[in-house]
Formats: sequence, C-alpha cells, structure tokens
Amino acid sequence: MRAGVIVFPGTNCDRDTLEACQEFGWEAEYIWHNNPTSLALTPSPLRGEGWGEGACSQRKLFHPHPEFQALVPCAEIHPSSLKWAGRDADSGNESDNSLNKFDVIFIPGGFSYGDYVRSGALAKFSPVIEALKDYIENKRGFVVGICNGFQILCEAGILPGALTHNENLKFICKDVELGLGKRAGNYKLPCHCEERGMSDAAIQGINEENDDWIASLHFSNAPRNDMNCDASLFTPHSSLLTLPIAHAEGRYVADEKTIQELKEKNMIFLTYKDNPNGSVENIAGLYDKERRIIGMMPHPERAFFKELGNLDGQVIFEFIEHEFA
Amino acid sequence: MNKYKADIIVKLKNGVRDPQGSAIETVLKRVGLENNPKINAGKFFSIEIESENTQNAKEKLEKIADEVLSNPILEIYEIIRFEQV
Repeated sequence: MRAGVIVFPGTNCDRDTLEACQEFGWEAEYIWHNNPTSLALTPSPLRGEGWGEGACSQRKLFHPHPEFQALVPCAEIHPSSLKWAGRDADSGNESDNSLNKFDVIFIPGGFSYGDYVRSGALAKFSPVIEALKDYIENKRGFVVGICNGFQILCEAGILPGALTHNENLKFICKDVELGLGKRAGNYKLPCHCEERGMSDAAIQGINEENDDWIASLHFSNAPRNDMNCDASLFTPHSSLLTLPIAHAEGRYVADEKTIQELKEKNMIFLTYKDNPNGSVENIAGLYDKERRIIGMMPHPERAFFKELGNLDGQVIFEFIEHEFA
Repeated sequence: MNKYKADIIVKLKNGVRDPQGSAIETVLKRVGLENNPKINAGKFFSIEIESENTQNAKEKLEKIADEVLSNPILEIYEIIRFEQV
C-alpha cells in the first residue's frame, strides 16, 4: 500500500501520520497542498537514515521549493532523498498532475491556515483538494481525514455536516472510548487472536456478545510488526476502541435530513461512548456514501506505538487496509 | 474599475447552539451588568474590492461571503454597509 499525507501550512500531525503509515508497513510520502505533484518528499531520514551525528536541535527543512522551505521548518532531509512526485529533483521532467500513485490519502490533523475564519475553511481552496476530488471521483483509493482533516472534508463538502466549537468551549485533550458503527451485511476481518493465545472459548464469547460486525474484529489483534507486545496494549475484549482526541472544534452538527441519511446509509463510522463535545448522535467519525472516505476526530496515529501504551490506532489502519483490498 | 467597501457580519443560524454567547451571558450575570442577557456572538469582516459596477460588486461580495466567510450549514451572512469609494 502506498500512502500520501497531505500537508497544509499549519498542519502539524503530518509526521505522526506518516510514521504510523511506515510503522504499519506502508510506503508513505508527504503531499504539499499547493501544486501537489511537484512536491513530494521521500522521508527516509525519519527512520534514522541520513541523520548522522548530532542530528538534533536546530533542524532546517531543505527543499528547493521556497514556499515549502519557508512554511515548514522542521526535520532535516538530505538532498539526495528528495524526490518530486513523478520526476527527479534533478531532471525536472513533467508528470501527470494527479494523486493516482497513492492507494490511500491522509489529511492529517493540525491547524491548517491557523484555523482562520473556521477550521478547514481556507484549506478547502488549496489545489490539492481539487486533485483529491478527482481522485475520489475516479474511485482510485481511500481517503482518511483525521481531526483537522475531517474538518477540511466537511468544509469542502466531501463529507456532509460541519464541525464547530465544542459545547464547553474548551480545547479537549484526552483519551476517549469509541464504538465502531454498524455496517450493513456480514463482514469479517482477519482475526489474530490465535497468535496471541486467546482460547476458542474466549473468541466464541466475543462473537456471541454482539452481532455487530465489529465482534469479528477482536480488538486484541496482534500488532503487525514483530514486536512482542503486551496484550494489555489493546483495549481488550470489547467493542470499544480507546483513542486520543485533541480539539476545540469537534462538535459535529448536521440538519435532521442529513442525520436521517447518515443512519439509513450506515455512514456513521465512529461514535463517542461519553460525548465530550456535544456532537449530534455522538458522532466521532463518518463515512461517505460509498464508504471510501473516512473522516474522524480522534487521532489513530497517536495510538500506534507500544511506547505510548495504546495500540488501538492500528486497528483503524487494519480496517482501512482491509476495506481497500 | 471602481472600488467598493462593505462590512459583512456572519451570524449563527437560529437553532444552532452558541457556546460563546452563553459564556458571555454567564459573565454578564456574574458581574451584575445584566440579569437576563441573551447574546449571540458572530463575526465581522470589513472588505474592499474592485468591480466594474455596483451590481457586479454586490454579486462578488455575496460570493465571498457565501463561499469563504461563512459556512452555510451553520451561519447566515448580512452585508450591513456598502459604498463605492
């Protein structure tokens, strides 16, 4: 799987998202919001190559495109690892102006355009969103909007409804329990429970607990990499995920007609167990009608590494991979 | 080309919850400035554009207000001042 992570001015969850994709075994690249195929960086230094000694403190972004250089002063990337999507940094050959090389495209969290006017209000006008609409129309792959990404998808009209100020007017930053929405039809995902030594009786018990398709997901899935992971790192034996949220404008709002449609077409992807922000119907995440686009307020990429004590984010990626395949 | 100036306000639609307004109400009550306030908070934009004539100017302003300054799902806009400079 090849993933693209869109970066706007003000985006700050791009690196976490990209690292999560790589951790999951996908190839991943950044996509700059403006002129998308002229600018894609191969992120090899993030995995430890090319840093050299003393590669901490004062890192500057080296990139020939002055706009990107000015706006994203972060990690140092060795010039030889720079690669423009569809052309070499040196040769400068033209390529097609599309996102078609990607199987999945992420719109990560952060504060695109400073959340000015409204969160995502200005980002929706970037050229990459036009390219994304083509990508969606061509049914090329999956789109995942996380937090600010979800806000941008709603502002752009790609997902219905809107996200606005939390009910309590606070920036909420905490772990929340979430339920995956019901899907039409029977749907079984691969179960890794045997690898983790779960007994048949325990697996049967989960299946009987609820008839929702998510019962087959078994959130005690083993992590995909070879680390020997503690079973307690996944929310055990329940139909609930635990993921962190961090937002001030996370309250989902939609009119009656839209809500009716969301329910009828099984477009509700994630719901809060204890609604933190006043979202209608406790909605934390949505599908589009075709179920090729997900928007979600919680951050799966922040629950991806055993060092952080929660691996439930990997479940979302496993789901995406399965949906796409 | 003529220059036109306009002031545009953006308000929440009736029925959309306004936590900012509620927060202000709470403070007004607490401070004693008003016992039973009702407040709806909105946004104010002051814009200057160029256009061939008044008609086109107004159309352009409406487009700006509709597509950028407000989210029609939640908000309505009002052009409260308009003049040719």
